[in-house]
Amino acid sequence: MFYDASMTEKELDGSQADRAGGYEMLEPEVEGAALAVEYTQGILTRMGYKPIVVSRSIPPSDEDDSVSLWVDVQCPDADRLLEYRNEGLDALQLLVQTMWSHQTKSKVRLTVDLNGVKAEHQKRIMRMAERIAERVAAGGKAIALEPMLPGERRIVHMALRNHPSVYTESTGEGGSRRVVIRPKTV
Amino acid sequence: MKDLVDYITTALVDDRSSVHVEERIERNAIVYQLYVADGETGRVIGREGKIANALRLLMDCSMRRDKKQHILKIM
Repeated sequence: MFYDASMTEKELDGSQADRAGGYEMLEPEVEGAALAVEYTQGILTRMGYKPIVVSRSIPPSDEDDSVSLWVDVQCPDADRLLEYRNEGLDALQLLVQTMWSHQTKSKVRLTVDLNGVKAEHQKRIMRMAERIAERVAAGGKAIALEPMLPGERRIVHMALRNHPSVYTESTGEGGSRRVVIRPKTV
Repeated sequence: MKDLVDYITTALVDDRSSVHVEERIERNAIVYQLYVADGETGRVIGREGKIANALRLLMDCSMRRDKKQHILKIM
């Protein structure tokens, strides 16, 4: 689910073409990835769509992270799944994750993206996190972000995990749970 | 639609052979009755009904649909 900040825009966009050869070799493969693609394809086809589905393994961003599986769907006429804040896409992801984990007994996290909307959203959150981290570092005062979903908060925590002068924590409960970015005291 | 429900359910349960979907056409709705093995209904419903609701949502997002309401009942 998480992208390392050092990855290029091209990789985030899912282009397979321009990768450095050596990097590809290092990428860990998620076992059963083909089955996740098959399920995604199988569901969408039965819903009457004609999707193109590919998967790739996302390497851990650091030693505390684990490998995850990214399933990329290209399907221009499936915009309906993106209505009401990706309601349909989230339902698709939940089902594919549950079917897949049940069959493979794998604990690997799985993200289903449609027409690149999630990759785009992640990039926006990471940019925002870094921008606000700079303000916290400069001003010395903690800043609380807007309430976010668990996956979104995770992106912020991961993006700032190795930041030299700020750290992050989550406060609040349920729908109002939010990330606070605090300066590291010297 | 029946195919969609059957496809997803089959991958969620252990006892695949017990899965079957009955389609009943009523005046304003099509009712899909989903049967799974005893003790496996929880897998299809999920915590707080999450799985069942996701399944219903995908039925609503399907391309092939008429004006009739599609109802999923887990038996």
